[in-house]
Amino acid sequence: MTYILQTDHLTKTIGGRQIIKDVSLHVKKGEIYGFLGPNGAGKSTVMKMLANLWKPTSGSIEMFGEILTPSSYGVLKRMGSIIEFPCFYEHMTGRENLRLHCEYMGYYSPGCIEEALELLDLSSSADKKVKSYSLGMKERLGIARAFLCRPELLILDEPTNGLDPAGMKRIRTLLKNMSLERGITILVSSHILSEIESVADTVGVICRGELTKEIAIREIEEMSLSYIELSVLDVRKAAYLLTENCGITNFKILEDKIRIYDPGASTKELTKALALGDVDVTSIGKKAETLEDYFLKLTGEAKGHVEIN
Amino acid sequence: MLKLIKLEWKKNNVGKYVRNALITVAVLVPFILAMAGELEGAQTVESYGSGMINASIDLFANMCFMVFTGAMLSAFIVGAYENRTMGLMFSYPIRRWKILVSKMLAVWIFNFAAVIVCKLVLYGAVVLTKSYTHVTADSIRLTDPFFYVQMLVGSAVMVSVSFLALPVGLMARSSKAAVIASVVVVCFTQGQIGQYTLVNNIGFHALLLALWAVAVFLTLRGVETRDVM
Repeated sequence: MTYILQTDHLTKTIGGRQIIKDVSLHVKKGEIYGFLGPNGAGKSTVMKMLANLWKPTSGSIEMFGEILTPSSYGVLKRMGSIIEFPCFYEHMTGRENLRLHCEYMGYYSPGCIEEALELLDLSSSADKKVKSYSLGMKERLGIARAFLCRPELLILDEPTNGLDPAGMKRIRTLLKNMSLERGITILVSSHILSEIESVADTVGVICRGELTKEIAIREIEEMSLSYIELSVLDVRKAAYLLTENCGITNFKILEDKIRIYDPGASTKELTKALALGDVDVTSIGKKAETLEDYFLKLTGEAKGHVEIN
Repeated sequence: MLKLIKLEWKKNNVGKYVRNALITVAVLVPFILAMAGELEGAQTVESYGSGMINASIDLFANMCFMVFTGAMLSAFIVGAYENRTMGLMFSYPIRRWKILVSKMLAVWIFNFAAVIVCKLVLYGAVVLTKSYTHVTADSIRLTDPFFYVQMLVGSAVMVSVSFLALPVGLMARSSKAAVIASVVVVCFTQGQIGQYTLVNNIGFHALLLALWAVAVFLTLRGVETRDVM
């Protein structure tokens, strides 16, 4: 497996407090990696370390096959980033800010500024001073700047902050296109589940500084089995009947409920079998464990802080 | 490095500082002429010595551009930490010490050039107008190379000493603290209480230069491994 970025037991301690604990990320080349976690979980801290702004207390970061050290400046040429909120030289125009970025990155490509401005719908305001930009426009200019020098890796920390729904959709589409058409690997963080779910190929869930799960979206979809949930008065007898009469073994008992995960089971047959066995069924229905349930389980007590939209 | 310095001037809108420096010089010229004329009229130049006019020009030019240096350091470096553009700078594939040194050099070169130009203009103005103002300008030896060497060294020392404001601003994470510190440095180096002044105290200036070296060292020390807050 080719990982363009991976961390090994990345740890950050500030003032004696461990804010990042043994985070081991694995980002494959060309994928969109969603970094999901509630506010204050440590997403930005990890990203600051990846962007060379903060130095890890222990553990290592491997980027483009190279272990990062304090003198690893070459890798910065191959990545673009927005960490927390993008900052600009406010007295300069949007176009001047982008031009300045190219100068510092040592990147010269005719038309790249125009293209970036157009992609982010900023062409009409490119010659206005950044101090007159709205929050959403600054966020878009930040993305344009991160994308400007054709990076191989994009690190975007909550890039849809301050954007309206149309702007958010535009960014999602843009990220997908960047990944599909240009093969750019994107690490994008968010505390909004739907944001990550709709763009990411792989999701890393961070909670209280620890990476609790790293899994491909496809795997989650496969794992998210539908089940039949039935409520009965006599759970023990119902379980016996399901095993002996219906041949069903893949089920879970929850107090007065039984969840049957057998894909071949039908509500009609189950009702009939239980009625014949003299078990009163108070309710029966098909349900599915959603991605939301899955993530909320992973984030545990953080429930309520991860926004489900 | 030269490119980095030019970019610093560009993004910090050096034109604004050029304009302000020109205004400063424009204000100082009539001020110095008026003061010199007043001194001459009151026959005080003789009592202080003919070098009085040189001392006045040095004093006011140094004072103005030491504060100028403090203000520019606060905008170029301390302000960059305050408005978080330093984080952006440190995300570029450029060694951090180079970025900081380019910022310091951008300020130093500008102010050194400005203070030299200012002094030359002031000396030139005094010499050119001496037949009208009857000012004693014997001490202004525009044809003596040592006069220029003295001016260059003195100006370089003064601009360098102004950098003492930098660690104060950085420690306090405040542009205002940097500017206030530069004013304090001006008071110490250029001030006079009664007959007592440290303006010509070489030992004091040597100490300040040593402190300047320490200030620059502290600013750069560990910058490659420091977290950008």
